[in-house]
Amino acid sequence: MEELFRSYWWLIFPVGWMIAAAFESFGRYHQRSGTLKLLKTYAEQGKEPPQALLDMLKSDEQRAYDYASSAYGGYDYKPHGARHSWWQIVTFGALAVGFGYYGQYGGGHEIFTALALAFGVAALSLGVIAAIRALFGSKRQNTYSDKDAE
Amino acid sequence: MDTRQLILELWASYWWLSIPFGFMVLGIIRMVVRGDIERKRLEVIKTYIDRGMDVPDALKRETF
Repeated sequence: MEELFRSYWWLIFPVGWMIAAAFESFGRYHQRSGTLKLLKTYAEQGKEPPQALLDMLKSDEQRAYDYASSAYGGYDYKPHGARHSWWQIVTFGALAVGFGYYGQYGGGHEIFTALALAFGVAALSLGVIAAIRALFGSKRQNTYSDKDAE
Repeated sequence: MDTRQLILELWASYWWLSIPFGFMVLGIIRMVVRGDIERKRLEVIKTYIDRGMDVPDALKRETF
């Protein structure tokens, strides 16, 4: 038993993350279904639901957009993909360099060189995608503005 | 070979399967939960329409 833990302790992290994600799903489900239930009650009584209740149905993306364009945020909100691509390139590139160094010169197993190659290819591909997007991508913004978001 | 040893050996070879399998389970949970929310959303929309009221914009888009 102890040996098993020694060999696989790091699995706690991915498995823990998965359990957390499952809890998040259930929590969100609970919140959404409660909100919808209340909305139904309002509708059955022929009353207008409060705006705050309708706002609870927003997705995280819409919420982030609303915050960014509000007086508190005051910056241009970019959709998910565009926001993270440069960070991903840097992260994958750094991992490639680190693993490559350890695999080639640090006396690590060959598997680290293979990992470095994989991360390097990922960083390169993401870089090409980001460059294409920056050069030819449409400049659309305010994707989530609608009557509600105002 | 006893069962315990067999399980340990199988785990040593195939522990990595727990990761794709975990993602599969997560995906199924999300799918079921999302489906149920969409069903409830349509029910609320129906209530609005049955009563001849305007459907709020917040209900018209996907909510999960």
